[in-house]
Amino acid sequence: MKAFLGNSAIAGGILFGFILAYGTFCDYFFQKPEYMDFTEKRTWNIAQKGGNYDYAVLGSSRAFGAFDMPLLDSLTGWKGINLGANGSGFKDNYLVLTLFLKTNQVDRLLLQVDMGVLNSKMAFSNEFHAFTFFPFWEEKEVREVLQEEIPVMAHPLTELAPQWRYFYFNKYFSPKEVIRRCLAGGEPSNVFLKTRGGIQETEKAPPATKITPTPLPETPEEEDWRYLLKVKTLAEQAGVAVLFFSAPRYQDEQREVGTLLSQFPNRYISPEGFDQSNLSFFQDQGHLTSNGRKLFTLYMGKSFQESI
Amino acid sequence: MLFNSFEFLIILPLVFLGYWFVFQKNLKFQNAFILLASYVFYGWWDWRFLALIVASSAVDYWCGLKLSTVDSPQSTANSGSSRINYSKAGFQNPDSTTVQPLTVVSGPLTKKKLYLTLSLVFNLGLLGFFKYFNFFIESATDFINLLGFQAHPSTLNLILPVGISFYTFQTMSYTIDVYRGKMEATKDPVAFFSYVAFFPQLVAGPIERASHLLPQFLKKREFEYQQGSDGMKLILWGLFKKVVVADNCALMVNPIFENYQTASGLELAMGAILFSFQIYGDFSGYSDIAIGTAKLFGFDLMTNFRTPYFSRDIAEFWRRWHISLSTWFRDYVYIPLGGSQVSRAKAIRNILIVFLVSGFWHGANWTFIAWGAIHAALFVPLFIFEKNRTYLNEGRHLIPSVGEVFQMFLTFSLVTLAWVFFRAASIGDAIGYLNGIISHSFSEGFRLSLYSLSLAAVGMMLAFEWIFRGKQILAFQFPTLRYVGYAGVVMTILFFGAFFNPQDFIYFQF
Repeated sequence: MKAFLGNSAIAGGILFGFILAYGTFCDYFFQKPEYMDFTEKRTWNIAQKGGNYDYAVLGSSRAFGAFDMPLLDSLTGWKGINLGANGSGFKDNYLVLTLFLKTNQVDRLLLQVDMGVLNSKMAFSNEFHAFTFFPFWEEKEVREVLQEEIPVMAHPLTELAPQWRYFYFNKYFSPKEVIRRCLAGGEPSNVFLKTRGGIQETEKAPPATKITPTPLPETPEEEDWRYLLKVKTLAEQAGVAVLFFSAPRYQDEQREVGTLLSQFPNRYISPEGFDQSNLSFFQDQGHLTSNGRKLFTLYMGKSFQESI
Repeated sequence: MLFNSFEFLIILPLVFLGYWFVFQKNLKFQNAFILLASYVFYGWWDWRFLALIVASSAVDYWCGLKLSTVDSPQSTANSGSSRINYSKAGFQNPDSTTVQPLTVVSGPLTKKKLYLTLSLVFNLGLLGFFKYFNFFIESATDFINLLGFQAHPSTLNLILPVGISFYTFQTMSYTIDVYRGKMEATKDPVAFFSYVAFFPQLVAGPIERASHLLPQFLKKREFEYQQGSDGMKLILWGLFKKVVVADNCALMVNPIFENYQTASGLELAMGAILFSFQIYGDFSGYSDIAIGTAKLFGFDLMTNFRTPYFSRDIAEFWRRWHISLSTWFRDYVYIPLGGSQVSRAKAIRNILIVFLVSGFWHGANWTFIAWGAIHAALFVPLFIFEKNRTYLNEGRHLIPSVGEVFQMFLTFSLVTLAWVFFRAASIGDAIGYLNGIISHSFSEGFRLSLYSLSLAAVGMMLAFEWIFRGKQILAFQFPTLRYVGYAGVVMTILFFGAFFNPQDFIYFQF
């Protein structure tokens, strides 16, 4: 028995030591901007430091691709940043904004609200990109959301040795990934700097030839609504004025969003004044083409200035 | 409580230490401690259903005692006159030295029969109510509606208690064996209740016979290094099969089966193949962890899987797949029906019954019955041509012959075909799925790279199981190789385990 316990203790100790060491390394490594993966837009958002912006756009890919940011800047005379990212729901946006506001200054927040992001489980294949925020475990808000979303993260053993969490999403924190980033790192590739966080010209897509409109749910999911409120509260507590907007959807007036948001004193900029029936503006039902983006930016620039 | 959970990681060492260091001196206390740990383990899932295990244990304990006090002429007549040949049917007899001759029971209803009937009615009633009630109601409704009448009976919103199919079969084996005079009834309630609820195998087997496991509760157990070490290896290997093989396969398999109407033929084929490995990794992984955990406490559980996908025909597959269930049906259904010691037609009938009941045991759905029927259809021709006992021993050679590879491939393909019925939500879905493999576009949207992790995991599992077939898994001969091997498996689990996609063990639902 003594030999068995001794050998088990040694094996367990080595295993535990390895987990702690690897996790500690990941904590250090994955927080360094030069090794962050900036092709992942949410990571780029989080990595921005020391900025001072007149406005920021926050939302999903539809917000990300809705604005020509340099054009919007020139129209408004303001300096903005687009924090939208593919597949970002309110949970992602809450944490992105939390981390962003810790090191940046923003005056106004253009927050995308529509029935898609308010029904994230239906709209996105992955409604929360928890792994993006794993290196920021030490931030209380991040930890709280992760623990709520992934029950095992709230387990006392995780509290004792949180380093193990990197093995939970081992695909994103594998030795192969570490090596890949080491090789690619050193000089942070700032792919979104030119476009102020907006979509890049290389991501141009042709207009759709046919779109069959599919309706979105008319009521929000409770959890998404709760996180919308959290985003709003977070921004307002940081002294950021919040404006809501909806990105255009082909042949969809989205009137229910306006009705839903009418309970708040905040201004809601509806896409109704934009021609949402023109097929050439859309690459699919919810995403604009380059031309559609320019026209929507012109429309928003006007509405945006009027709303302040 | 799941084996691959933090709770188990904490509780297992605590129970281990308490078992060997606090209660070792007193067997009764040690058994009581195991019983308590088992009830905590089960109650973690839903404590209300503990009452069912306690009731099932109590009824069978009482029936056993009563059976032992009733004198029956049958028990004394249980000699060699009516011996049933176990081996002729082609089912495996894992423990031939302990199996007693059996008598096909007949004759007037004795008191013994009454107690046996009580036990069977109670356990099968429990199973029937919780597992099959809605199925029978719905099937009867469908049938009535098919006849042109209108029926709208209401079903009950029943939760299926985890492990009910396993522990009811386990307790029934006890009363049947006592009834047959194969073993004596125990007078130690704690040992008996511990045998029924023994936590390593409580919720998904192996389905232990009382004659094998109960005596282990009645004798003092000593810790043996080798047994403990073998147990740890099995736990490690079981975890690998579960979190690396099964859970990664599940990531690919689930969306394919859910969207089979739009998947390409190649995707459907890959989905079916990966499901074969998912269910094997999942269930045999559970069995390995169960057997390994039991070893840590000085118990030997029966082998439940012996590399079934290396089988060269369906008969061999059934000697290697879910052995504890197939031998249960052999001993308690097939043999009492006459086994193969009856006319050829009746023997075939017996085989059909066993496979269909075995399918139905898995769940209240026609898909499971279809799965059983397919296996019966594949097995019966071998039986008719007396080819069902061709492969009784596994080959020892490292490189299989081309012929063997072909036989294994063919057997695996047939088994995979049957698994589609097992996995599909309905028979219509299963047929649609199989039809899609042929009729859908061949490879549209198929990307092999998506499957690379699952296939690599499957490859590693098969390679290890081939090398260690017939031996203790991970029993490396050379010390250096041993530690490299262990470290390799641990690292594979850490870096390739699908921890973010934890799946319940498939057999929990049965």
